[in-house]
Amino acid sequence: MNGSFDIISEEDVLHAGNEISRLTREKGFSILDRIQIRTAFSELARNMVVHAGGGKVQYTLLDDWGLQLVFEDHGPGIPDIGKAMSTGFSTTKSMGLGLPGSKKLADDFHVVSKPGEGTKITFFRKIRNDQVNNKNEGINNGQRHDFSRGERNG
Amino acid sequence: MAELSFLTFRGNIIVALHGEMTDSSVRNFQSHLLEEIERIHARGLIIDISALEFVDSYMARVFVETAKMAQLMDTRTVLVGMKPEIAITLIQMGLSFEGVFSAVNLDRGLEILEKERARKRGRR
Repeated sequence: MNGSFDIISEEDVLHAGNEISRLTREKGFSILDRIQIRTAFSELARNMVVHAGGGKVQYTLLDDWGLQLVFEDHGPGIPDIGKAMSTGFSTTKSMGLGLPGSKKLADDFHVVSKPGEGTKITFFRKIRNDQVNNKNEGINNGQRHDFSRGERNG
Repeated sequence: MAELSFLTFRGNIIVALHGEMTDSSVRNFQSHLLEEIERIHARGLIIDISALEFVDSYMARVFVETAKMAQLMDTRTVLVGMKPEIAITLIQMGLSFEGVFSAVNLDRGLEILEKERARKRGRR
């Protein structure tokens, strides 16, 4: 399953975020997965609105795999990605945790940015519902604990 | 999001947030809340976030800032009802809620405000 959203305004961020929440709920992502995906979506989509005047989000959702979100804009780009990924750095009034924070919620995270051309951020979160939980064990690369076991489904 | 409604209980303001919020609705919330604190000379403030779908870094930052602003106005703030999944998410992202009281529910939140008030009286 895949699709895309054009993100221009704050309202677009909410609307598309709600759609992503609906899709992940239907696909059986756990409540923690859903909240973390929704949070990262909000951070990264907001960045596009605030820094680049908007952009596009493409999603790919596959059973037994997970959800990939690609945020692409044609804004000014990020001059120093290393600096932008460090906590506490921000060029605008946000806390500067949007980018590094979203990375911490991802199983895979890539940023490609060219000054003057734009930014492309790929966020991937694997599915951890009960059916596929077992085979995902041990691939946690130390960044995060697996909270999904024994968690309520709601 | 729906209109904000502020309840007043024993000199405290109680406000509940629902669903999802845009950046501008979060900013609106902050300014209305500070006005309300001034208007009724609130002793305490309870922000109930139990019905929020998620809390991102922007919202979290505004909550912490609001609590600090309220403190400058001599009003203590308690954040109540944070879902466990939201707490996990915010801490994983590296957010700090230093200086903000939190409570599991409204009852406990009011208890904290009472204790703070008693502590303050004791100092006088």
